[in-house]
Amino acid sequence: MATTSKKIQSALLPIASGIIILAIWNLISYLYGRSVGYDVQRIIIPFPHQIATALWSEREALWLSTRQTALSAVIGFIAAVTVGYILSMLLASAVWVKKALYPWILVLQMTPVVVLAPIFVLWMGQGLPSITAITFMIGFFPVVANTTMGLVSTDRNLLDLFEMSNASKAQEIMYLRVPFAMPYFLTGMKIAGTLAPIGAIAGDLFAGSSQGGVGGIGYMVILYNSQLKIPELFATALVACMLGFVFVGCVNWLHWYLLKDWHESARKTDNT
Amino acid sequence: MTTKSNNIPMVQLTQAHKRFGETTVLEDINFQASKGEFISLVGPSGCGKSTLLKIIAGLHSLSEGEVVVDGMNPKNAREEMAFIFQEANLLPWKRVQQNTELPLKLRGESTERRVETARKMLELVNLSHALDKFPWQLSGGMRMRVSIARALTLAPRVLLLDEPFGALDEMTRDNLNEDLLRIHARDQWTAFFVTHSAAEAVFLSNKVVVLSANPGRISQVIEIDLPKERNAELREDPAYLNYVAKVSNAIRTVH
Ligand SMILES: Nc1ncnc2c1ncn2[C@@H]1O[C@H](COP(=O)(O)OP(=O)(O)O)[C@@H](O)[C@H]1O
Ligand SMILES: [Mg+2]
Repeated sequence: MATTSKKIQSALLPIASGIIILAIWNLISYLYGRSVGYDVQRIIIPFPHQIATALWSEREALWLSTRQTALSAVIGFIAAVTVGYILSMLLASAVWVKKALYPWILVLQMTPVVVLAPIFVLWMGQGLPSITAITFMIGFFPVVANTTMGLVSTDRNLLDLFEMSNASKAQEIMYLRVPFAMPYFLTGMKIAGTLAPIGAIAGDLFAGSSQGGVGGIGYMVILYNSQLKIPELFATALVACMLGFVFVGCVNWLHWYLLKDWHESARKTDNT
Repeated sequence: MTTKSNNIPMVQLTQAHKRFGETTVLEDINFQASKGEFISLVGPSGCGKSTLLKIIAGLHSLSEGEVVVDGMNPKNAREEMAFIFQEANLLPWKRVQQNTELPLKLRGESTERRVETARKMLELVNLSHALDKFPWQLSGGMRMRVSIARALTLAPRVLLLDEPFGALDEMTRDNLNEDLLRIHARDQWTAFFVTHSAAEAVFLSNKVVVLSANPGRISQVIEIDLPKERNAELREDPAYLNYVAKVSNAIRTVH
């Protein structure tokens, strides 16, 4: 009984607070509109229902642009995870490799992507290649940092165990270092997953285009803004937020799925 | 039980010294263990017990002197040795069965042999019911049993145990000690067993080596002249209790 009422509570509370927030928003829009006029209010702080209407009437354009951004985010994310993983293996393979390469990876990471973005556009032109490159740049460092940490911090006693068994270097990597580093890698992957949609939208701001009639979310932001379609802009923010949720949800699920059997971070209960 | 092979040294240390950088950890260790002997190592913490085991295992090399295992350099005798660590040291992402198979898998044995051997060893340590469990689902004592089963899969001739039961409660520890003796009586490996407990050392061993600290030296070797067949009843035997007092005293007064 107690758990059921708790469940109901945790479902109802966010809905209740959401209604309150909407009501306050409505009130502010109304008061603002009364003092400066409703045409100004519409492009500064639109009513929630105006945003909803914009969302509905622009649904087709928003759906297409979301798909475009999701595509960039997925490609950039997969590139970041793959390249990041390979790079980590390389960095962890010998101390001198890490000493030689890590400072330059840091330099790359410290250079703000917004500064690099125009250079990418210069090299690769407007469109998908530049956008995914920007997404990649934002996502790959957390993967490298975390995975490398996991690969070099393998438990000393487990390494001794493998040495006692005369394990080859390949066996040590395959059966020990890689699985041991898995939770670290997945943590990096989660961060990359949170950043990927943001990277894709940021990339779109610099390199978005409506070639073939399809621009991404970032492109729509620029478009609506320049046309003073502010309720549509708010609707776009809503859509971007939902894309982020879906993306992070998928990545978190993958994290949970791969670790659920054995790792603390993915285990909910001890049922022995 | 006495056979003529009893006098061939399985493990022999001659004037062994070990330094880490400037500090001498082990000094002038001379010792030999014959086939089937059960040797306990006791002494203050930091005196070099783990280091000594790792030297025999070939995980550390000596700074001076010589160590020979079954007539070979330890690194070449790896196939005959197994190491049991203080933590059970299992792969957390593998089930009990796969954890037990690990040494055989690393050695490239066929799946059939691996599965069969692991099953047998798990049966020996009374874990047949837990083949599909992950390490986190087991108690500390069960985890240690898996660790023992894993070490036994390669039919070692030398078993090195570094405070294997130090983290367990007394009853679990007593049970595991009895199981260990039962398996030892069957397989007759040579054991080096590090412990902090005088009672445990006396119960298991035919010899207790007391080490002193800074640097670690052999301060005393106490022969435990108790019958070979031992069981829980021994724990009330006055002769046994006498030995425990003697070893406790030796540990306390060592410096
Ligand atoms: N790999 C190592 N490098 C440097 N010093 C070490 C290393 N391993 C152990 N030592 C030092 O050697 C001494 C003995 O350690 P150890 O053999 O673990 O002692 P014990 O097992 O008896 O508690 C300690 O002072 C420890 O700090
Ligand atoms: Mg130790």
